[in-house]
Amino acid sequence: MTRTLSIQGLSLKHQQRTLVDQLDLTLKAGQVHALVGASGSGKSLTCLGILDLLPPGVHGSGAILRLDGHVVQPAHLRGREVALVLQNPRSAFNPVRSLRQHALETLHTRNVRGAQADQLILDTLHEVGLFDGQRILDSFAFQLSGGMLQRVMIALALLADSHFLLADEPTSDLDVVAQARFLDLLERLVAQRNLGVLLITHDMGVVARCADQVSVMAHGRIVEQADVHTLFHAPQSEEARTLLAAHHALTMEACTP
Amino acid sequence: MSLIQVRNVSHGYTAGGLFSKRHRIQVLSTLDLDLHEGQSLGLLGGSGSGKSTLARLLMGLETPDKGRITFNGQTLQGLDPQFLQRVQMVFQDALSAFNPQRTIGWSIAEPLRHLSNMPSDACKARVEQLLVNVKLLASDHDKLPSQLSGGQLQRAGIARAMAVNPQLIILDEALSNLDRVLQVQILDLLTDVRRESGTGFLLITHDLSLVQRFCQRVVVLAEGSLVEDREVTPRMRFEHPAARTLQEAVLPAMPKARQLQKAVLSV
Amino acid sequence: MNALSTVLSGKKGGLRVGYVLVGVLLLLALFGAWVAPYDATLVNLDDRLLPASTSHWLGTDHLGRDVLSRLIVGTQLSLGSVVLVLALVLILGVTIGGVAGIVGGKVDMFLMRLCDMFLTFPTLVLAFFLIALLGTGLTNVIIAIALSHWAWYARMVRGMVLAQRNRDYVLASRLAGASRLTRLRQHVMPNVVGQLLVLASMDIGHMMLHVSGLSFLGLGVSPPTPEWGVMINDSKEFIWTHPQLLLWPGLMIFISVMAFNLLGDALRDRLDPSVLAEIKE
Repeated sequence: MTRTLSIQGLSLKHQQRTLVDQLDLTLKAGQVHALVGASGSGKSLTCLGILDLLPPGVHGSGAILRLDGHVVQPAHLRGREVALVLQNPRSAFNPVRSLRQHALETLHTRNVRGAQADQLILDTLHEVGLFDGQRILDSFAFQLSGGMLQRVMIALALLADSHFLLADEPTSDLDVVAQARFLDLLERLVAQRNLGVLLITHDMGVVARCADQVSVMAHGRIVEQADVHTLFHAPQSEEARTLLAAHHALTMEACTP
Repeated sequence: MSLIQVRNVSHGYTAGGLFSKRHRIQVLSTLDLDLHEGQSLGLLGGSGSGKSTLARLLMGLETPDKGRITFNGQTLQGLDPQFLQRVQMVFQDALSAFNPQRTIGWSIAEPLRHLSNMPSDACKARVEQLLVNVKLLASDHDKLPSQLSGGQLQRAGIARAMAVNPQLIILDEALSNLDRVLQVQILDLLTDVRRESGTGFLLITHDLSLVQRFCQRVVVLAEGSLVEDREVTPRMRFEHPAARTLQEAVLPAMPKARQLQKAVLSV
Repeated sequence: MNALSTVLSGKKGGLRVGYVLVGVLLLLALFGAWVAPYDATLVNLDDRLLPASTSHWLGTDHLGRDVLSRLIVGTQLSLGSVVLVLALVLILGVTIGGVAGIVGGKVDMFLMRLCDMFLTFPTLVLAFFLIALLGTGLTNVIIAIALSHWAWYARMVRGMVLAQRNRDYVLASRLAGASRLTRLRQHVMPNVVGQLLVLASMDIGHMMLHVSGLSFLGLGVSPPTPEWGVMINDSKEFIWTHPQLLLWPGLMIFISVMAFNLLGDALRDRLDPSVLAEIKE
């Protein structure tokens, strides 16, 4: 059976203003679901809303979260079943703790300790393409590049044995080369580990590169939901067409053989 | 004719001090580059390739350790007004490039106040015209930076750089923080500017697709030296490995065929 | 009550309350002598320790002086001395911190070590020491408090100047051909002063407590003159029999401290772009 994580009827409000309106999303294991939209369309809030990690002043209401069909509380999923990868990896790590401490802390919740934990950490770092494990573990977040930190974030998610990954603009702060490597890694893990990924982005190139399903968001609503080929060949909504036009204006010339 | 000539330039920084040994980090080594008048040149490089250092050198903010940078045949020494009238720059982070306490109009007029003898009412008219040129409203003149969006602010930054009609505008990763839709809008805007006023541009970026859309010529910087220098054509192929890596990292225009086949099969 | 709590909890509400309170205090400080119903220093031993009534709204003290009048007239000295302290502190702090940040090098070294010397002592101890040197009296108390506070401000100003100098908009201004002095005047200093006013307005309450505290100890304003700290000091013998005599001046200090803190919060929201950005998101 394919594992699924779904949310139904997610609405988010700030004072009287509706930011996200009755949103439904389903993630399937082994698939990348892209959530695209212009800035201010509510995509990042949706991501935080799923895990109930909303900024102060924003209130959610009426959302039902289901894991494999069973209703669950967001608090039970955070850091276990579902992991979060943020745009700015530097602020996601505690600056005064080494990455080894972060990794051990994650394993602590799974009751893995000692030599077994060390080995598991090194193996996982290897899996995300960080071959210099010992040096990285002894580093602090500010000593590593953005691309490496995003990999460590993924490694932590794997250590927590998460099956779903919510990635909020994970490559926006990286240069194109680091971005391509990160997306390669994501693709490999989805295939090997059967991860389900929600990939939030404003770049249709990222979508074309690795998404299976796409939801287009505008003004807090999903205006189009389709698989990636349908969307690229026959976009229905105004927003999807705008995003694709900009994307193709930049890439068509470069890619046609 | 070359506007700026870079000859044999090497430059580096001193790092370390408190906790580690002081040492010199070489960023650029024996670099040669010619910037032609009215041309738009793309400077492509990954992070840590020395792009920003080169931008600071070209802008006269630093003097190279070795070698020579000449502007219209004269050696560049610091920021004199004649130089600044001809070369201006747009920054990466638009929000921090504007004084939060001053209006947009005031900031855009700043080069006019210091670099031209324009009377103040002519200044105001020029700023309003500039705002319209970059597709902002003349009424944005009195707004504060915090009241504009990132894309609008970056356009205001371009208006400020255009104020004194320079011969060259350096865009230091000026489009990297914007989404695709805004990037295309701004590039089209800059193309119009180039066509109308003959301003040259140096677009510093890590994203080849922007260069391909906007530039006539591209140079690739890798590990402190230029490894490619060629005309931009639709089917150009880089040869140097570092440049090829950058080219291959460009995201695809359409979803991959492999998945397409899978989709077709399943239908 | 409900309405009051909604007003106080809202951001705008806090701002409004802060403005109104500070406005009222300023008016009292300027025109208090005309508003006050009685002569604040008029001793009338027949009317001593009267409770609140229609003729004396807040009652009278142990010498038969009208408490309300003394509170109103006292506003001028209490607030005035704080404003003077603040002015002195800001002048010293901005000048010394600014010079240290702008000139840098050896001058910076020397000035910062001087600051460190002042910062090693607790402010109150330093103030006592300076009063012991200068003698008592309101002027000396003001000088002592200012001298024990400036170092902290100088350090802050220096830090702010250094941070501002590296901002992109200062670089942009340099590329626009602005001279060093123009950049300082138009970009660095306004932003430093903006942040500084916020800090200072929050610190006013703190300084007011210092001035009142020293007056309470008998080091500042001397007895017949109306001042809130002195009033508390005067009536401390009656704390068990007539507690309201301490309550009223205490309440005035409390209200002014709160008013300036609210104003400081509001100013910070106005001037600090990072907070603004957060609210917008």
